[in-house]
Amino acid sequence: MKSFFSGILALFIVSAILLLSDISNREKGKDALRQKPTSGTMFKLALVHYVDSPNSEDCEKGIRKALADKKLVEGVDFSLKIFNAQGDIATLNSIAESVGNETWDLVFALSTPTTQLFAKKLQGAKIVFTNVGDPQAAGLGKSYADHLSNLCGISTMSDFDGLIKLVQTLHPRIKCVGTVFTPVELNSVSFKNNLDISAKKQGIKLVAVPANSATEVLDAANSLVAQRIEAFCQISDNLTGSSSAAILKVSHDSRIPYYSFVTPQMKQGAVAVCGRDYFEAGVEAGQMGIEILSGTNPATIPYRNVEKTNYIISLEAARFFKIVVPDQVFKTFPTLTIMKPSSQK
Amino acid sequence: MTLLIGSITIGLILALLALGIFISFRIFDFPDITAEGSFTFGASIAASLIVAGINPVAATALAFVGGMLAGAATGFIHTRFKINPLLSGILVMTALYSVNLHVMGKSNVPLLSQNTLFTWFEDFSNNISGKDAVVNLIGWSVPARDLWTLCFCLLIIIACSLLLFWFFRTNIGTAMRATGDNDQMIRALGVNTKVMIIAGVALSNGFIALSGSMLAQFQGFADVQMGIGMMVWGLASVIIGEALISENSLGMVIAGAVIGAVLFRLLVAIALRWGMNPNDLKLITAGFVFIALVLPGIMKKTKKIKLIQ
Repeated sequence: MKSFFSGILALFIVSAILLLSDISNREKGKDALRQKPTSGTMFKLALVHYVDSPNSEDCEKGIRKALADKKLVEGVDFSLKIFNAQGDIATLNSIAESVGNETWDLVFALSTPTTQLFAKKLQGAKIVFTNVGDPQAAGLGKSYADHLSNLCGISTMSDFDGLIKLVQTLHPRIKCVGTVFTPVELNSVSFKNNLDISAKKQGIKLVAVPANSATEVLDAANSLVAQRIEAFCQISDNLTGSSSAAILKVSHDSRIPYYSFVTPQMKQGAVAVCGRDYFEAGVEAGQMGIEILSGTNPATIPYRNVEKTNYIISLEAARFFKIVVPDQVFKTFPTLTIMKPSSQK
Repeated sequence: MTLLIGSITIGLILALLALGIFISFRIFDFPDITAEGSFTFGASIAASLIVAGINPVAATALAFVGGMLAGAATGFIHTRFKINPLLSGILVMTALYSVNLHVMGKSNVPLLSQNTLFTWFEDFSNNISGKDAVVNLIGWSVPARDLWTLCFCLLIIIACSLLLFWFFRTNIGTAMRATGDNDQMIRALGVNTKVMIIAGVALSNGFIALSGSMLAQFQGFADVQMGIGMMVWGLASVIIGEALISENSLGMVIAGAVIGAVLFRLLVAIALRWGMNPNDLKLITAGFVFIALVLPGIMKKTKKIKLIQ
């Protein structure tokens, strides 16, 4: 029995340490979240990643750029505290408690699980999300306009029609395209279905092969080649985003051109992208955040997709895949830019 | 204070996981890694049933049953086909990944606007203490519903622990414990150890699935990736508990697993509250576990040295 009390004692000691480190929040509690903090003019911001991924990191860079564009300086005009659950759901819950325990002017939630959890736990805080592919499927609102009153954000839904149209202009007789997707990522499945709809509209068949881990991506890409696809139209998700090099290698080895939705993949050898990318999403989420910081009620801001779409083509990669780039493509896509060959790897 | 209460609540929910891990690893000496699959399995069963309009209590109970089935599958594969326990666990865990996707129909089921066990606790709090009531606790103001949620979780975990304590002292329970301790002896006494292992691993995974279903309802969604890393945390909790409470009696060991799980969450909360570099979080938690494991031994040694002097 003695050792049982020593266990309880340990619990008390650790609880006391936690309370002592939290002493600054005494007599404020959760209610304080609803009031404007009194700490001068410096905005107190939090940013929460769920997992370390290039997409999530690009969003953070974008948010920082949006703040910098408004001449807001970290440490002077705002403080930004970064949390990262490192892919662990229990830690994400602890982070939600930790964030909910303090007063923030604004919380940036990156990724779907983070946003879902914060929507539930942080009902008093103002939240801007991004890196969420399909907010409706994630249960974050009945529609883009009808949503929780303390939450708004930028959905990273890709421009599927745009890419299919671009591919069709470059390959007028194309019949079959392929993509690797990740069944366990909500966004990935939703993107795959949307790409399928866009492709069907143009009479193109989409072959989608699932991959569940980085090692399976290469096999999935090879399986696509075996199914005689004529082009890769790779959707964007966390898994294929971090192992895009594997798909691009298969693409180059088999001389099947690679198109995608992620701008940085141009440097890895993609022929063209139709990028509403995560950096832009971050920039727009940052701008939305600034709007809220200057007094707009998040309830009145509808969710929206990333507005800015970058159409980029690499003539060098097109030559490699023996694609004749018609002049018409520049008429159909007036914003299409040609990537400088020097930046090609 | 809300941070403390929230962390203890999460700790109590994950204590169910620790109890499950404790049964397989400690009572049966069966390194069962089905946990990562059955944790998500419980969450996905509960979430899909709740979305389908089933009563949350029934959904949670069915999650428990689902976990038991998963565990029974692992036990069956191990005993019937003589496959290594680790590999049996890997097989079932891998299979459950697809099963979970089928159960949920997609990779993530939101429960934001659904009635769950935890919205019941909140309703209860609103009825008893008034809506959005705030309680003053030694200077910190705490929402009443957080306190009520904590109380309910505490009740659930105490009930589960007592139930386990009672069960492992019945004839069947004793035979189970003996199976883990000395299977030759108990087989000589006429107990079918294969059945005991299947039942034990089933019970273990039942608790793990229960923990998963509670966490899904607590956080407001079930995600197919939520089981990742859970087994390690559960095992760490069990071992911290053992290091703290060095007695070997059944009741103490069960209490140790629960205390270990709560303590572990508190340590993570401290690491977060101190605002360390987010990239270092896992390094720091690993450090904490190391200290928690080493400290009791060092304390004992210093005591002995004093006695000798």
